[in-house]
Amino acid sequence: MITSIAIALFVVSSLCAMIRVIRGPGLADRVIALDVALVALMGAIATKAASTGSTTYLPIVAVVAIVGFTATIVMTRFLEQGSGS
Amino acid sequence: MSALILRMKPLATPRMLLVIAALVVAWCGLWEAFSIANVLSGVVVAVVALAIAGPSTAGRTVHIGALLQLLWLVLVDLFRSTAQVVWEILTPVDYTDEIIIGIDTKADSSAHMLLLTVSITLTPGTAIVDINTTTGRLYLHLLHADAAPHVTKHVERLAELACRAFPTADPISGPSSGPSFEREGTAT
Amino acid sequence: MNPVSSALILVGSVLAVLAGVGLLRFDSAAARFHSAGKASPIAFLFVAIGAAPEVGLFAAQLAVAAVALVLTLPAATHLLFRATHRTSSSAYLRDDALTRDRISQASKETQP
Repeated sequence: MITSIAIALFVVSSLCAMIRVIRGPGLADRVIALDVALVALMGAIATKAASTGSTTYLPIVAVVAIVGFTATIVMTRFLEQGSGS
Repeated sequence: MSALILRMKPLATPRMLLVIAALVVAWCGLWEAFSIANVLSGVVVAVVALAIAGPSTAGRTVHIGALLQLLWLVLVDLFRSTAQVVWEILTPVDYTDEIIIGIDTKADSSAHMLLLTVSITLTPGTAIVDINTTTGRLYLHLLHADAAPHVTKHVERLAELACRAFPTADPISGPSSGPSFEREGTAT
Repeated sequence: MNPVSSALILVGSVLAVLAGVGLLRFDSAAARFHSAGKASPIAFLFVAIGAAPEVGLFAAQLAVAAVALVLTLPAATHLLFRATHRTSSSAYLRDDALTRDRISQASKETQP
């Protein structure tokens, strides 16, 4: 039951992030909202792995952290330089 | 290829061997077993990664006491900032008085900047906007302006601990290291 | 799942919900960056510490992800602040030391 509550809370968090992606006035809000959604995804996978004890999907957590960070860095660089250069 | 082999030469010092040993343990931890194949492949991967990365900017000496003090402060700040974030989100008052302040420190290398960025961002209510590495001036964005003197004292203490933890770090030099007004002068 | 792990995972998920609510609630963009950039790595840190005893030796991958997140999300938040400051007019700030220094530096460079 604790697992279901935790995963439901992560789903609520990613729904809030998606609302900010749609509404956000500007690119920076959308970038930070996608980061929050990625952290909710990682938390949900880790919770499911902890509850069932099966560790098949744990490498996704490490990969998503690193790829998400790289994507955020690239987007902030695009924010600074604009689409002209 | 020969440049890569040349960069492997300074890797034989005892400190580098410690770093290689730690990386091999982490590699075996990721593969879940300490077999011979894992250890050998771990050594190869660690040596290639360190050769590609080049000499570290953190300097030759690491002052463990200052580093541990900094980590303890960061841990305490983690819990304080959690409590403050929870409090601010749950209370209905929406009063923010944002300012950007400048603080002078002695931090001038990328190792200092990484430590300071992580520890200041985990401090409640503050974030780094820019750093001028030639004069060591940090610019922070605060959510509540009346916390400015307290935050200034705290950040000066963090910066002094970071400089004491890596005393021989190489400073960043060159025109690309300053904040935006130096770069805007040379662009377009 | 033992009770301590369940409690830590619940705390982590509540913090993630608070990060999401903070994204929706604040009016100024900087407050949104502050709350989301601080609450997210702390939330995953709690979840990782709670899940670590349950998955046994695979905790190394969770530790790698947690350390990567704690080191990189604050740096990404700093870069977002810097990009927003450089491309906006900052009219809402009460006092801006960075723009003041920038203007004084530019005026010093244009003087002979």
